[in-house]
Amino acid sequence: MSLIFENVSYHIKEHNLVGEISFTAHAGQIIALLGPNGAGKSTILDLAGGLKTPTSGKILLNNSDIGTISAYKLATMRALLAQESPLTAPFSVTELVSLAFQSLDHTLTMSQKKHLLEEVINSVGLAEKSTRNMQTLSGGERQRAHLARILLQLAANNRPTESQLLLLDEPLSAQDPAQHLMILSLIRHYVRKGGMAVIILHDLNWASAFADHIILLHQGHIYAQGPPGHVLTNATLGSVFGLPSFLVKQHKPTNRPYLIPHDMLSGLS
Amino acid sequence: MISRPSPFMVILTLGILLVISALFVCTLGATGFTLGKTGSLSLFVIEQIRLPRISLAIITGAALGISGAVMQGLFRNPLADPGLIGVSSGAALGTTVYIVLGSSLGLDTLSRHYPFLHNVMLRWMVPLSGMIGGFCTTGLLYSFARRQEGLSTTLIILTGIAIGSFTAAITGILTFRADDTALRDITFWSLGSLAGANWSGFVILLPFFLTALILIFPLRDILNAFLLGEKDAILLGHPVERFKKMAILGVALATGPVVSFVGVIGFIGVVVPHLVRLVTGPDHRIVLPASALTGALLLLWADTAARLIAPPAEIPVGIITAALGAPAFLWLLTRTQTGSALS
Repeated sequence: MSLIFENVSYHIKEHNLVGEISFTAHAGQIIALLGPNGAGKSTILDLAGGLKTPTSGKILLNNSDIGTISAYKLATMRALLAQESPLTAPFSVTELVSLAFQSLDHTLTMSQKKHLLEEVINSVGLAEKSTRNMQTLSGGERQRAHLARILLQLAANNRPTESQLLLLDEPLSAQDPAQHLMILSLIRHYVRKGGMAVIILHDLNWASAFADHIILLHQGHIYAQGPPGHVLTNATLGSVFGLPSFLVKQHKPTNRPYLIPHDMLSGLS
Repeated sequence: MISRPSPFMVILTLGILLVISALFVCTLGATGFTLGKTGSLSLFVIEQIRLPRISLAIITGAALGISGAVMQGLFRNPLADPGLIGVSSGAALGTTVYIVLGSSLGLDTLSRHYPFLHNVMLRWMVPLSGMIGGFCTTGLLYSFARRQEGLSTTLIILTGIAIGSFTAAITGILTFRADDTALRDITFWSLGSLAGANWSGFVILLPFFLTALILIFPLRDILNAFLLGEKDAILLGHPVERFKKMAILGVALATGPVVSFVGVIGFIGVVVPHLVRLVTGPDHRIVLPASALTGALLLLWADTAARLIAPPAEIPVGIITAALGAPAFLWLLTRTQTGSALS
């Protein structure tokens, strides 16, 4: 899988949501989109998922223009976890996750399907709640059920992981710290198998620890991009987030920075 | 914990109930008899009066039930009913236009010179004008709700309300102009009745009904995905815009013709999918066929009640479905915790 943005802009009427976005991402990478609220992160994710069409510029998925790929084929190539899904029906977790099967002409047998279902539900830690009504679950559990559905969408078709793309819009937003680690490890595992993931994150430290490539957005434009150590510096973070400064330390073995806002420290005193 | 009955058993049970009910209801009525002991009169009553009526009740109830399920899935709203796409209000307008203006346009006098034509018109003009009115109104609504980026379900609802009020206003003006006979015809139509059932009417309705089923059944998977929201349905690779068109076309074909023939029958379209989901859960692969069967079953019994409650007079079946359907609906609303969930 390769995902290439070439000078991509997206406007709604006179509002320029994102402008001149260019980056290249390859299989085996976790790409983190960072930036303040309204920086254009979700718009970029929607563009990469084919939900929005760029006003100008080009988006290439596996070297073909995303606009020329049919909705059905696209669904076998990429899956997107939205910030929230307005589910209005009392599906059980298993029923919700198996909706991913219904959109595909897969060749799986009943037992293969059952096995895959159990595997993805287990991987997001919902094995014991698989027969529960979605409407009785917590926000974090519902989010993980949708994550399982997204993972199944990619796993259930015949396309190899190497040509697939996982797009996640704030997958940690409703999760407790233990789940942060579990979900990011799950994504890292997926990427190690050859997949690619583009994730919107708000926690700079989780991004630093897991991302291979960070794209830092500011007012619809790319402010900086590169490996965590390159992007997450006092200077860039200060001007993008408008916070006075961060205390940036290096984790020596991996060369990845970890950060504490000065404001937080001053709050302690 | 959620546990569901097996889809196969649900369909089988409903199917058996429908067949038994149809056979049983056949024996009920002004001409009483028992199965197995039939004279020529009762055979005539069964073949030419009760069977067509039962068949009409079954396809009308099935059409309304399945259309309600499609509408509630499409709009992701438990209050949606087939009337939302303007097909019933359009049919009401169409029939009223014919009933009130038909004679003043000279259609009656013209056809009186040709007895055959007169016969045909007497029987078919009301349903035909209803169908034309229904399809035109849905077409109008469709063109209003369509945008460059696709069909917006919110716009359909809002446009539907506006067009519904407008057609109701025109219908009202026409009623104002109507003479006593026309007024009685309009009232009778708007309350709904299967009393006019005959085989030729059924034969005309059947192709519409079957076409609608052929359009609607393949939508079951996408209706499920639609419960996640339009965005997620697109992400799962479903042809969402085509789906919306097919759903509206299917519902218009299913309900427009039957409403034109039998008049307005309320609450089947709203209540039946609710009742079904209460038992089967939200999966449309079972909700669609079960709603069709349950709709048929309910209307069959409602119509039997309409025939039997005050013989020899008939109570319009629309009154019975509303009288039973409204309290049932309220009861359902008190049962659901949120009142808004599609449960």
